[in-house]
Amino acid sequence: MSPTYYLLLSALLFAIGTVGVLVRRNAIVVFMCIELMLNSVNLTLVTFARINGSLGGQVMAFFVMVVAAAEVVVGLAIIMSIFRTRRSASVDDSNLLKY
Amino acid sequence: MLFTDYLFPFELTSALLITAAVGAMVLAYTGRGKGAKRTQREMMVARFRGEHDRPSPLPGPGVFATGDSVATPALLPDGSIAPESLSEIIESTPVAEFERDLNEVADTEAAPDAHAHFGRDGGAKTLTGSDEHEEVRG
Repeated sequence: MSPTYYLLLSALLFAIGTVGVLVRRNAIVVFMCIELMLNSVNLTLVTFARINGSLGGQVMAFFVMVVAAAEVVVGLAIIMSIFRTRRSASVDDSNLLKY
Repeated sequence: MLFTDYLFPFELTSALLITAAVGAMVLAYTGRGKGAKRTQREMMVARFRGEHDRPSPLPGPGVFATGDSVATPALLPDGSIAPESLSEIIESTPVAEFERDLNEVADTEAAPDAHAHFGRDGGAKTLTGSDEHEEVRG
């Protein structure tokens, strides 16, 4: 099994996620791009775990998923509270560390 | 493997998830709005002190016995239409359609016939029938 296509797809997804984080202004879209990057890394981990015949990469992917879930929960709550006070979900508007 | 080699990280994920859930609740909680709920008495005192436009609620539409539609305006005691009872989003019934009701309120309409529910012919028959019955009995 050649890992080339998996790694190419993973690199493509990671690039899309990076460009999205850098370009987009909406905080929710930035969040989704971060998720995209995390999942492309998951794909890489699972690919290498499959090639090497060990389960370590899959376990690592599991932990990445758990951390991503926790991160998205807290992040969405933060975005929501910022939106409540600033009436905006743009990352450019939240330039203060206080409300 | 998850339960042997990575047991401690696995337990850490549970702590992380619980912390994330609690943190989301803390961040997303808005509270019960401003201040405690006003009691009915405080509300009434505030209304009569003039903190609201009027002490009573707005007159409800459709108080005629002939129509309970929202399009029917309420009548003031002098027979005129209460403008607060008119809905802004619904076209109201034209005034000409409840001319009779207005006259009834103003006491210029002829009073309804007290024997109206007998009907013209049926009422007469009933009356004559009872008369005959009394004559037979007498």
